[in-house]
Amino acid sequence: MSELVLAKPDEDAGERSASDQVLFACAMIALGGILLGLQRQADGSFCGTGWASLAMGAAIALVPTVLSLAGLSADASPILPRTWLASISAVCGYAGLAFVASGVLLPGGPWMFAEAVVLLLVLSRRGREGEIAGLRVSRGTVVWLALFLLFRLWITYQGVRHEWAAVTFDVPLLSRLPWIPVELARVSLGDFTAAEFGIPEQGLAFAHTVALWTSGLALVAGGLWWRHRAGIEVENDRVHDTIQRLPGQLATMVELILPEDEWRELGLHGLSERQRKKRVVSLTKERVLRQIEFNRAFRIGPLPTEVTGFAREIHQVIEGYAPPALPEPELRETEELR
Amino acid sequence: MRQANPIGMGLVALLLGGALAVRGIAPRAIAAPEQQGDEVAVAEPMQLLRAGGTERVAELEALVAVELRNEFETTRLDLIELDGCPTLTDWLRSRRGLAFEQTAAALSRDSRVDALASLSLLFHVARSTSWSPGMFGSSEGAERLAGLFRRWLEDRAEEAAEDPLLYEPALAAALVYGHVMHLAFEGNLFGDSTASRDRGRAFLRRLAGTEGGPRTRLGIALGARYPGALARLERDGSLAGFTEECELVFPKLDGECGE
Repeated sequence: MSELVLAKPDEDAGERSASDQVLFACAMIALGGILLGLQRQADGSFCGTGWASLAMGAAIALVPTVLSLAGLSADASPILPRTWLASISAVCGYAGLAFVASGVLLPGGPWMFAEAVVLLLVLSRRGREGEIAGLRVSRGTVVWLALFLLFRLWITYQGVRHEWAAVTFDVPLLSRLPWIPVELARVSLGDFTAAEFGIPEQGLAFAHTVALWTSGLALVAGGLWWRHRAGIEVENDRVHDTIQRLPGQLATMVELILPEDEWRELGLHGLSERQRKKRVVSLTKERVLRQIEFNRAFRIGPLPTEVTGFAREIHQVIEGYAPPALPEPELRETEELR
Repeated sequence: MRQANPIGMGLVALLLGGALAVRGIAPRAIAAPEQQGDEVAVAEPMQLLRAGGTERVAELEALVAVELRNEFETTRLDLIELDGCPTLTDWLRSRRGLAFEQTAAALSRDSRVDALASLSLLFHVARSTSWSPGMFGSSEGAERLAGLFRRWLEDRAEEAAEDPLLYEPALAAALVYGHVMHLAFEGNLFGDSTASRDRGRAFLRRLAGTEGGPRTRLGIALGARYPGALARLERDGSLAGFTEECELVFPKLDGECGE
């Protein structure tokens, strides 16, 4: 055991720490939120996209967040923000979800509510792993978000062209007759107004506005993903710090018994220092006892040699394992069992 | 454990605040430029361009630049005597027509009031001469008239968008230009003149800045005042919207002296 040395985190000065990564991710989300909140007017100046869609996005983001925090997800113990960094990260996570929702929703009118209902159902449904879809983005969620975004861009495009309807088409034949009034020759579906969808009086610079929105969405989506990954790393660092307070070899042993890649699943994230210590003790005890039971299973007796079929396959699997030598009292106990 | 950078956290908080704040930025309102105290004021300049404008054109004489005052006076009186709805192209070839064209051009390049005086002359000529292709005629007259308006717009449109005196007249000039070019395009009974439409379309798009980049100030004002006309121009390059609007704003400006 003494030859074993666990890999320690690199102390390379050029490497960003997990907490820095969380901050970068949060900055990306906030920057994306700024881009999503802007639109460029026809004269080149900028104006805001309004509060209505953000408020609706925040309301939509609230539902999956609350469902998750209420323990309805598969997580037995919700992760609580224990540090300032974790608090900011949590706020940015919620804001990011709100920004994404508001970025794809139409900015007003009755259609915004219809979209909001669909989005709410999509984000609140449970994924395969039991997590709320809004907090772990699934393929279906991405498709829905993309469809809503395209619809928003289409409506904006129509507004920029002064076509105040979702769809306008010429009636075949009728539209070719010069004496037929335009009202009869053209059919419009889904009428809207400029004020409903926040299109300013002087019109929008469509290309620039679309570039702003899509860049914003990309930043927010990337930030949310990065924040999720970096958040896991930060929590792992906290667990690591707790374990490293144990004396040298003991810490090494505990990290072997409880591998780092299992810490999240083992519920070690989001706990206070006291809770974490108790959890580490409990988990170590549980695993050591399991190992003892495991080894004991191999000392029940010699394996039968003349076996075929299914029994032979099992035999081949376990015959190479040699359990460690037992101390004297336990050896006697094993002999008695035989 | 490494501590989080407090400056970084502050920056993130600021950015988050910014993401909320930018949504409240109000769109820039479209408003006509306001009259400054020391500028020469002409009350209701659009009256000079409407049908009864000839009654007020004399008011401009005192304000027109001294070196152009005589020419303006002469041209104004020539136009008053213009009757019988002569063909524009013929009249422009006459002595009076040549003098008018020179005076209008000189005025349009001079001061703001002179530019307004020039435009009032153009509107007067547009009402008093025949330039519509009609059923069997050519588009030459409409092209000539549109050319006069085009020159005025090239001289003054850029600054007019920020000039309280010329703001409305410039919009009217752009509207009439589009209307006249549309009539030139429709041509006579036997055919369209796509060259007229294409030239009119290209000039108006450049004037309004609707070719991908940001709109010009005049384009924004034009879009706000006559949204249907500019929308059709942007959408399918049609000038018909200008004619529709112009028929409402200047009802008898039809190239046939309103007859």
